[in-house]
Amino acid sequence: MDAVRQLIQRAQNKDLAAFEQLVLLYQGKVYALAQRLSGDPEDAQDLAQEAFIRAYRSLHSFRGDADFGTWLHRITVNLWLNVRRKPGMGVTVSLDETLQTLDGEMKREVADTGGDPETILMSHEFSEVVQKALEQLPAEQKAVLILREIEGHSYEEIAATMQCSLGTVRSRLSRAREALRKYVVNNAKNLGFKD
Amino acid sequence: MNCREARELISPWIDGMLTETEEKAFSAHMERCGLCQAEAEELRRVLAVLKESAAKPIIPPPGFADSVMKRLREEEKVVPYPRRVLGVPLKTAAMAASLFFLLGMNGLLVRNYLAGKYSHLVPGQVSDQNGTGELEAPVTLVEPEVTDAEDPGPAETMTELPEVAGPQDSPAPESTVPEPVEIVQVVAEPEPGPPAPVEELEPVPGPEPVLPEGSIDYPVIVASSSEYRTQDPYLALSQLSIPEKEVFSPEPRTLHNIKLRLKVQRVGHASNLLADAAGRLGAVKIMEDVLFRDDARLVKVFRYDVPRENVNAFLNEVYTTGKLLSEVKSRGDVTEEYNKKLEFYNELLAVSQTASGTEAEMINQAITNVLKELEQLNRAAREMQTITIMMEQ
Repeated sequence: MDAVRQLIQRAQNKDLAAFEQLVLLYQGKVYALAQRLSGDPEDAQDLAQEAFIRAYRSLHSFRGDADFGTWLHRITVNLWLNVRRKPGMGVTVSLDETLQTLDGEMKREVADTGGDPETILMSHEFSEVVQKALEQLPAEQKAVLILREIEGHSYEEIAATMQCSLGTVRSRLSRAREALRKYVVNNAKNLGFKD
Repeated sequence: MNCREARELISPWIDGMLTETEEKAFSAHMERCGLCQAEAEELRRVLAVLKESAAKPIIPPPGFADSVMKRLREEEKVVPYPRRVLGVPLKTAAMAASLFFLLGMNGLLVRNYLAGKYSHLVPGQVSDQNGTGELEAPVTLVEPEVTDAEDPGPAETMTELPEVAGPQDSPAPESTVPEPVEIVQVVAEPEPGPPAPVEELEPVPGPEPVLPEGSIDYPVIVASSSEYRTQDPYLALSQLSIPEKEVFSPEPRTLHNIKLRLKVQRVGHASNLLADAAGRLGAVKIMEDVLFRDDARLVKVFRYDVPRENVNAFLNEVYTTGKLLSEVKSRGDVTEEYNKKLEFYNELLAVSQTASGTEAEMINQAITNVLKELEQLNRAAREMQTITIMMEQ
C-alpha cells in the first residue's frame, strides 16, 4: 500500500514512469469495469483509456486517504454515466408493462416459482437473459448492480464511487435488483423456461 | 408489515443491511408469507446467475497500458517552439510567411480566410447529427486554418506551459514583435543576416489545395469542442476540467502547413486509418481530444498539422477512409436481415421442442449457426451506427 502511495506521489509530480506502474497495477480492474459497463470490448478500451488519462490529469486532486482503486472506479463510472445520461440516450423498457403472450395478457407481477431451478440456472440461455436484463436497466441501476454484484463492493465503497449517501445506495440497489428480477422472470417465461 | 413494505427490504436483507427493527418486522412477515419468500429466493437466484456469468475474468487487451502511456507521453511532450527562425523573430517570420502565403494564394481558402469565415461549405446531403442511429454519410469538410499567424501566437502558448524544458535559442522578447506593417517590409527586404537557406524557408505559393471530388457536397456543422465541454456535466462535477493543450511536434514546423481538424467516431477503426495516412504524408497530430456524442459513443477530435504539399493527398485519404467506412449496407438492411434471422431462430426453437434423434441434432446445429449469424449482424448494426468521419469547423 505504501508502495502505491509512493507511486501516486511521484505521479503527482509528473513522473510518468510512476504513473505507468499505476496503470499496470490497476488496468485489470479499470478495464474489467469498463467492459462490464459498456458491454463492448472496443468501447471498453476507449472508456478505460480515457479514465486513466483523466486520472492522470486530475491526480493533483486525489487525496491520499482515499483508495486509489475506488477513485479510478469513480472516474470510470462517472465517465460512463455521463455518456449514458445524455438526453435521449439508452433504451429504457418499462418493466411494469403487461406482457402479450400466446396465452393472452400477462401481468409482470408475482413471480412464478415453478420449473426446475437447477435446469434453469444451468442454462446458457438463462444466463443470457440475465445479461440482457442488465443491459436494459437504466444506467444508474446497471452501474450500482455491477459495482455490488460483480465488483463486490460494499455499500460504503459504492457510496464513495457514486458520490451518494448509503441510503441512496440501499434504495438504488433495491430498485435495480427488483427491476432485474422482474425482467428476468418475464423473459425467462417467454423463452419457455417456466410454465 | 405488508408485502409491499417487505419486498422493499429484500435487497438490503440479502446484504445484511437491515436495522434491528427492520430485521424483526421483516422476519416476522417472511415467516408467514410464501409469496415474499419465493420472491426473495428468486432474486437470490437471479443475482447468483449474474455473478456466475461475470465470473469469467476480463483482461485488458495486450498493449493497453502502452496505449495509455503513449497518449499521455504525446500530450506531455511539449517541445519549445522555435522563437527565431534563421535570425528572424519567430512571430515576425510566422506572420510574414503567412502573409506571403495569403498573398500568394488567390483561391477560395484565402478569400474565406480574409473574410474571416469558414462557410465555404456547400449544403447538400444532410447527415444525421442527432444520434438517431442512421449511418452518416462520409463527411469531409475542410477547415483550412491558415498557419501560425491565425493562432493566438505560439509564444503566448509557451508562457502557459510552465513545464517546458529544453534549449531555447536566442529567445525574442514578446514586446519586440513588430506591427504588421513591418512584416511587409520583412517580406520585401529579407534580413541580410541569414544567407542562402532563407529561400528554402519561404513558402512557395503552390497550387491551391483542391478538395477531393465530391467532398464539399457533404455539409458538416458540428459543435466546437468548447461547446461540448460546457455540456459535459461530469467535468463540472468532478472538477476534472482539462485545458486544451496543444502538443507541438518535436520537428520544427514549416510555416506554411495547414491545420486540419478531424472529428472521428468509432475511434478504433477510423483513427487508425488516419494515423497511417498521417504517418505516410508527414502530417503531425498536434491535438487530440475526446468528446461525447448523444449516441453515447466516444468521439475523438484530432488536429493535424499537414505539410502543404501533402494536403490534397491527406484530404483524399480522409475522404477515402470515410467512404470506405460507409460502404456497408444501410442500417435498415441489416435490421431487416436481423429480424428475419430472428424469426427463423424462433421457428427452429419451436420445432426443436418436438424433434428427436438425428432431426434434433440437425436442428440444434442450425440453431447454433443462426445464433452466430445473429451475433454478427448485431455487431454489424452497432458498428454502422457509429462510424463517422468529419472535419470540423
